[in-house]
Amino acid sequence: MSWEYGLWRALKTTQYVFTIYVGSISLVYLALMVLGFFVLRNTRNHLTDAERIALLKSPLTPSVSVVAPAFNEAATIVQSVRAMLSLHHPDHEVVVVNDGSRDDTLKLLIDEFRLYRSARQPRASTRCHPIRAIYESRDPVPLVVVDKENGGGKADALNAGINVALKDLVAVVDSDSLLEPEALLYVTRPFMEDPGCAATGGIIRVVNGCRVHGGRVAEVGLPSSLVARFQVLEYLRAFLGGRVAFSHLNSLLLISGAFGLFRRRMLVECGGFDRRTVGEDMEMVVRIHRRMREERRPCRIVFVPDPVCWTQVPEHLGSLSNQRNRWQRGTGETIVRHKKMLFNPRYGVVGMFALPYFAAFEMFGPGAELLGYILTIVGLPLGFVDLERALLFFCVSMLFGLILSTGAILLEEFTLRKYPSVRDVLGLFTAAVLENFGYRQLMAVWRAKGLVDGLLNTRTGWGTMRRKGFESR
Amino acid sequence: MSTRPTDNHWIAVKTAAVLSGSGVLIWMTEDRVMSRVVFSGDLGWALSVAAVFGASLTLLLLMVTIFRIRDQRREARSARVAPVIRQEIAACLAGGSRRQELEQLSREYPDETGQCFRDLFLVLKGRTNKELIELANAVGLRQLWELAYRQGTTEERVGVVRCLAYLASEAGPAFLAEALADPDPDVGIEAARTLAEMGNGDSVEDVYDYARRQSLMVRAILAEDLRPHLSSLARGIVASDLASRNAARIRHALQMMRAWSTPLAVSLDPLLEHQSLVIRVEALGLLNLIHITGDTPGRLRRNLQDQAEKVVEAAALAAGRLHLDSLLPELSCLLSRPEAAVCRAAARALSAMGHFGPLEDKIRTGGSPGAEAALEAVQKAHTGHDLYARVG
Repeated sequence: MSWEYGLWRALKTTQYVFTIYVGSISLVYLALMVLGFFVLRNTRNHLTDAERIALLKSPLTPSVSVVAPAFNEAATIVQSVRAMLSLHHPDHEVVVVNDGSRDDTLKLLIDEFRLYRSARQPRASTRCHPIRAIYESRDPVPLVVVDKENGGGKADALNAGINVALKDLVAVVDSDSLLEPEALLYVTRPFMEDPGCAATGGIIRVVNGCRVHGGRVAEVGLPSSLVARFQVLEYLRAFLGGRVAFSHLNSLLLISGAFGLFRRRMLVECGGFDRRTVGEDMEMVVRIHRRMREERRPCRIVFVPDPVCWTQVPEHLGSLSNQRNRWQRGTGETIVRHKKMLFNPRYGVVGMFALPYFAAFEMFGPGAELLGYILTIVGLPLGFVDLERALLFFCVSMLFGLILSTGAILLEEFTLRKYPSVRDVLGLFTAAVLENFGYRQLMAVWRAKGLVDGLLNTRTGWGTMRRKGFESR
Repeated sequence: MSTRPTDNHWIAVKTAAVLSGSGVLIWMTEDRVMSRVVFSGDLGWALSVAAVFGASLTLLLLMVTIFRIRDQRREARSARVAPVIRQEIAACLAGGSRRQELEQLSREYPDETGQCFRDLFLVLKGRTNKELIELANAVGLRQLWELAYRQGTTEERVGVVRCLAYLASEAGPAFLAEALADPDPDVGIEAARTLAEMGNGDSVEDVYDYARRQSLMVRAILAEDLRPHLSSLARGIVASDLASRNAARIRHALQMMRAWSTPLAVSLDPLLEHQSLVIRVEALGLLNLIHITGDTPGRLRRNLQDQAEKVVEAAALAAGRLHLDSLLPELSCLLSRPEAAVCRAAARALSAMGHFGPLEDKIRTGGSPGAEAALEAVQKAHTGHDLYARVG
């Protein structure tokens, strides 16, 4: 057997493995989407006015501490805090953690909310960098600002907030995000329905392109930037397609760091967020699953599709690259840290399906996609891939992408229908076609690089992201 | 977000049906079409999958467009017709002779007429409500609503429960009692709310009993509807639940009391010595809502000396709320305990009672959880708003 034949066989085998891999990933995505559709159709999220009023008045509604870490957020912090303070909930406090900002974040908060240095002491001792001071407002608003030394990333800031928080539940939100007024009430609901509920997460939507007034989204619209528009589609696919189905199977592994609600007791028991990973949100959820299953305690982690958290997505490719690199590193770090759970029946659906799914498709998916492109490019001149076949394969893969995106848009249309104008829906379809020409490939490269960075530990930390004020759009 | 267990089976069946149906379609497409057009097996399969799902999604897309257009037209029609229907109803209720016009509108626009009546049932009470019942019967809404109740979606069924109960007049409570047992919890909640609104003695106790068997959320919602019947409930089922040996019943009764947050003529004294810590803590938190007997300070004192931190904390907060000066020495002693939560509760109680002396003494000694708690409580008292108000 000549070496040329050996190489040809190896490339051919790789090609078959790759085809099977792409087939499985597409089918699993489709199955999750079909399941998600039926779950959404059978779930009644809506509360009547009377029910909402009763819950908003009731002392039985669990109290919530909204913890928002802030690092150099001077552009948006005041508006965000105002929006958080005016959330509809019978008993909530806002804990802003200033993570050693180098801009005017703390000064703005002190001036705007008439803060004084409080004698309030931390209630728990999850690991975090030293707290310099705790401030409270002279006005009758439940606002606490924790000023801590920088370091340890978002996880460290969250731990500082958890330590100072007083209430039964802790809502983790990004300070550059806007919550809908009743979002907090809706994510609290599963805790009242099921005492075994450990955490809930809401849907994240893209605020770019929406009209914001007084810290609220007044009019929903699509962003004009194509990069942001592609991300709208990605968020719809991820949340409506995947998370609804995973939540139904009680194997939700990711509650977005932009908006999640946890039992405070559970966070403290688990030792707070892990400061050694940039994917602290996913790591915490997996750790809760792991702990609860090891201790044989009931545990439900629920995704609530109705309450909306609006977040700014990066429109600059540099920031987007940083973000995706970080997400990929976070996923990789979490899976490596909890590899013991992989295919372990002790951990139920999480160990047997959700975590292997994340490892095979979310962690290695971009690498496989990139390998596919490389194989095609290399295979064309070498002759083991013919041009016609390569083009056909590209068309099929594009069609699959299009099917998944269309499915997500349809799920949105059949259930939540946040985009009122037909023009916006058509805009989303156009983006679903266009993302296949360049954007998807770019994502694959960035994410694959993120995976390599994570595995080789060549890059740490969060990177930077350019911010705009909300009302500027 | 949760679905009902019965729905879960259906979701699994439907998902499996869609996926296996798609599988069959894909196989047929590959077998009949792709294998003849595309000669590569794997690519043929991939194209078949893409073709089947692509066609399905195109169909769904078409449906979405049709639904959008239908909904827009329906909304436009409602906006046009509803004011006219309301006007006709108002004219009939005011004694005018417009019944025929209303019957005509009801035949042409049954959904809109039903919706207008449903809206009015929520706001009209007393004699006008009775006239509305007669009118709804006259225009033939009963059959429409009965059909919706039997065959409609959850939303439609919830929408007509109240109306059917009112239409049934004397038989209304019996209909609602039956609806309480409906497997759909949303229908059950609506029936319970209407029963609390319409009902008397026994039926209100049925609602309370229903709330007790449901989740905390349902209890929170129904507590508001049961509020007008507090005194009769406190004399009856609440008192008997509090005296029960069943810990769950006691806990739920205490939760309902917490939801009402209104003074009630019941005794919690025996519960202050209950073996369950959760019950003791919950009962201590409600002491300010009931009549205090001579034994209460003694029982509180025993709880202040308990081993469980949560109990001591709750007892200290209760003592502060009740301004029990006789417990001052015990509360001052608690400031020296190592547990920060206990110190904070004691400091807060002393601050609420206006005894700042022990707190200032503790601040002067410094360096202990008690001193930190004392400083926090004194500062809170001076700044005037108490963040712990709901924590206890």
